[in-house]
Amino acid sequence: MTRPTGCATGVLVSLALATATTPAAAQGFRGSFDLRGQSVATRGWQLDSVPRSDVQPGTGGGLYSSTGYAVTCSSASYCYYYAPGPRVQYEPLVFTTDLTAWGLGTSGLSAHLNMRMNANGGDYPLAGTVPAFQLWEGYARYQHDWFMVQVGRQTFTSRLGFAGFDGGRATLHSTKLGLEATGYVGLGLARASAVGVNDVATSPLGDFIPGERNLLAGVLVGLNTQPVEARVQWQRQVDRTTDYLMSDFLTGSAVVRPLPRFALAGGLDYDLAQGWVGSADAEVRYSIPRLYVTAGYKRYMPRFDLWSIWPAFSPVPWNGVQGSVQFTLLRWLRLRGRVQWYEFEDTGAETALGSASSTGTLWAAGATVTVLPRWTFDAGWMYDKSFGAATAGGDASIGWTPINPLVLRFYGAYSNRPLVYRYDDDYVTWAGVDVTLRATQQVAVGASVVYINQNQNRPDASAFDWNQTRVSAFVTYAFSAGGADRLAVPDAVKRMPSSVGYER
Amino acid sequence: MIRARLGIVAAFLAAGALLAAVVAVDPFPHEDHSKLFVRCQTCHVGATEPGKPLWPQAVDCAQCHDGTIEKEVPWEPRTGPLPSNLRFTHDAHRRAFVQEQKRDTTVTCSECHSAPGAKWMTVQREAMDNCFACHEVRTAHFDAPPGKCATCHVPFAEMPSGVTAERVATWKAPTSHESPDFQTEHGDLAAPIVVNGTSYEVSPACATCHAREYCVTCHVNAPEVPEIQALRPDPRSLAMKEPKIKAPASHEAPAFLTTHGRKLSKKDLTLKCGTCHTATSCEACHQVPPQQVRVLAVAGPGRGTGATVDRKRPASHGKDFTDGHATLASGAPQTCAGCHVQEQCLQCHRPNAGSQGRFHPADYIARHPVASYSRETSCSDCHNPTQFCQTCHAQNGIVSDGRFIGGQAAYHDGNPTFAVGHGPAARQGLESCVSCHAEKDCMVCHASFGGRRFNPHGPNFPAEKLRKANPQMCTACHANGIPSN
Repeated sequence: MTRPTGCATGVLVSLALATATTPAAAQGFRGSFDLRGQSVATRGWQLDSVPRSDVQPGTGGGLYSSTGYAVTCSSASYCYYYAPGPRVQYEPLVFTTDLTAWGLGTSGLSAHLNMRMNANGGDYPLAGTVPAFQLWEGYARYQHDWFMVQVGRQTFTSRLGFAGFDGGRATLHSTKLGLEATGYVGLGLARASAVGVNDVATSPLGDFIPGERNLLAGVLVGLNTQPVEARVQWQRQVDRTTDYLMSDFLTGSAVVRPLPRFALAGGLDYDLAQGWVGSADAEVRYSIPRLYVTAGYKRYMPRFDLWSIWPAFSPVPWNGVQGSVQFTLLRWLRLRGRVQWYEFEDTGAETALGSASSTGTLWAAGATVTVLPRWTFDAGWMYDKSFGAATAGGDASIGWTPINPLVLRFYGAYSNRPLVYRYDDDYVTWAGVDVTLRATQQVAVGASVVYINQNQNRPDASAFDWNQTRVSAFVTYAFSAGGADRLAVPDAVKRMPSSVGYER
Repeated sequence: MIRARLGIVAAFLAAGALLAAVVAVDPFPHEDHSKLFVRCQTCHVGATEPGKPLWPQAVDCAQCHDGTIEKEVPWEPRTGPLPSNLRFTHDAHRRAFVQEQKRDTTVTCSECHSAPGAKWMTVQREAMDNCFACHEVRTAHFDAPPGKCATCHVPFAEMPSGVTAERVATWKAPTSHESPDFQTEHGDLAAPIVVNGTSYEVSPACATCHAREYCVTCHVNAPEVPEIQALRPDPRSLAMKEPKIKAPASHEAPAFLTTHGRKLSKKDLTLKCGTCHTATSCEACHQVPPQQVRVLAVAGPGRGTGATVDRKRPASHGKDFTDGHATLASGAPQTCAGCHVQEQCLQCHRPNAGSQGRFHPADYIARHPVASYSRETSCSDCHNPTQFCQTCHAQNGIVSDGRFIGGQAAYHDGNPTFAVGHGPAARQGLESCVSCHAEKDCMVCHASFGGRRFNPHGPNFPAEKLRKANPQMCTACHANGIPSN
């Protein structure tokens, strides 16, 4: 399916016209083209059934089919089971264009574009690649000393996440006072999607969806000073068909730096529509040259839009405490540790037939060694347990920069993943290598190959081994009208020991 | 105090240059001839009679050293003055001395070339103390006030070509240059100065040993610094050892990375930051440099290349930062914007299906259940719960068709009573449930109209608020019979 949405097309055309009709062509621009593709396969499950007369008790006491599958018999005549499904191959190819242009005839006027074209080989389109054309941002901005106006498809980033919409946004700000006020309004996009909530792509199971895209509006007031940065935001979504609320939130967040080595950060959401506190967090951060410590509280409450019925099922939040430490023991040895413990609030649904563990824990530790100039060794271990699943395992990597623009990373890991509600104990090992070459300041290429060995352990015929090799590659070209034509993330960052977040 | 130290330094440097310019040891045994000559001018007639040679001719020596009276000696008189950075000729110096001291012509050579009280013809090239005594330098050579350097020395760029770059390379740096404060404070020492009515646009203490090129090796803002522009160019100055530049102590402060841009005036930027940093060096970190950075220069002719910024992550950006950065990012987006542009946020928050996960570890497909159950991170910040999760689950057979009590319950075979006891798990992990189940799956039982009337509402359910906010939600299960409370 390769179709731009009507609104996306409109925005594109508007931008093109705005650019074409300006007295002078763009005198400055900066952008990039990025092409990425990968080959990945999955293997899921396939529902099947046998007549109840064909099942018999097994050695463990459960019922088994004559072919060895553990079955569930909740019907009078048939028993059901999930057998290993067929291999599903995905081969997505994504072309991303990012462009910023200025010097459009009016000082302070600029145009911004971020879009993707998706193509798919394999058995199905990979999740998130439909529709094929996705306009994430396409807007014109006018920036003045004390105000800014932005019109088009844009993303507003805040404590409530990334809200995409087609509309306008205006900001007044005073650098001297450190104050800013922003208002925005437009037709919203579905959460984390380039299409509206009414698009079939956002409801693959064909369930309830609104008839039209929602109206999104919000106001944010911010304070930017050295010791305190703070934000207060109100954001509302309205179903345009019914004029009912889809969400209505008031949030606050702040970072306070009372002393040079301390920072306090936190925030809180209040659901105005339901009248309760949503997610919240508070954290103390302490930093000295060789030590970085955090300790904090976190509360997580899922947010469901009110056009669905999910809020009626009373999801409960969890409250937790967490901490982390990074310690540079030696110049070449950095240690890290992290712990989290949380507990769900009372569900009010426990019965003799059903209960769930209400707590979860996470432990993680690791070390990074940079004793050789061009090498980075890293190893880590983690244990993460929730009420429905757990993961335990370790991973290790070796980063090598044989010559400056070339970065290689070899890695391997082992993980065990038992599930609680499904009879499944999954063991996975993998090993791979990433190669990244910044051929020039403008061009970077890379490839990755990883071999994965997965054992889906069960005491019946549904157990299977699932091994595969995944391959991916990319090429990025950055360009500009001036001297700023460099790639967005210099390779220096990727070589840094603590930059695994970028590498993986 | 500092100015005095600079004077010392400059004087010491000048002396070093001078000594390097001449033969360190007197090649002529003056004392052996002390009973032969009663006047210096016998051999050094040029010292008092301009235009005549300063050195004796070989034939003069041969009057005795002819191989018969005395053994022959090789002697080739020097022609012209010794190349040095001294502002000196014997005649001018003598005339000035006579005029200043209001004396007759009886100034003697020994007043400069012998130590006080020394025997006749116990001479040296010059007795520095004698120079200082007359020129009122009451300190050691390198302690001389900055203005005094110009008394004896010409500016670097005015040195004769005979003072070669190789000789300049042998000059030693004054010890004051090793001072921890020297790097940051030497600009004050170079400030214009007036000495005995003569104005110097740059202190002679600097100009004696340095030319413009040397300053430009470091100073990005050289064209904007008048003291540097006051120095004449001379490539020989590049022969000196390059200075070792260290980042100022302020750059080591814990919060420097996140606070260095605050409260910087245009003057600070130009004269402090701009000394070492080009606008380009800011771009090493700042994807979109702040507006005030525009006052910084761009590297080019006449400017230093500037400090190389070693881009590094702030201390907060450890390995786990990706999991916990939301709190900081939502509270202090301006700080984030110092280095990041929104396009970078989109790279993760709008995942690229063409690449393996950036945020998640390898083979996250196999590991994701625990994270989605525990919601260690908010999946829906980056993935549309239905578009992303349901699509993939459906393609892999992990999806409900509404027959919950029938076939689909078989999926949860780890718990035999899951079908009838799933309430706690559902309220804790509803986001996970939604990744496979549509609303109609639940409404088979949890509906008072067309369902089995199992109440899905938990403790403290805000029925009235929700009914006011969006009664359509209520209608889905209650149809026209929405309870009034």
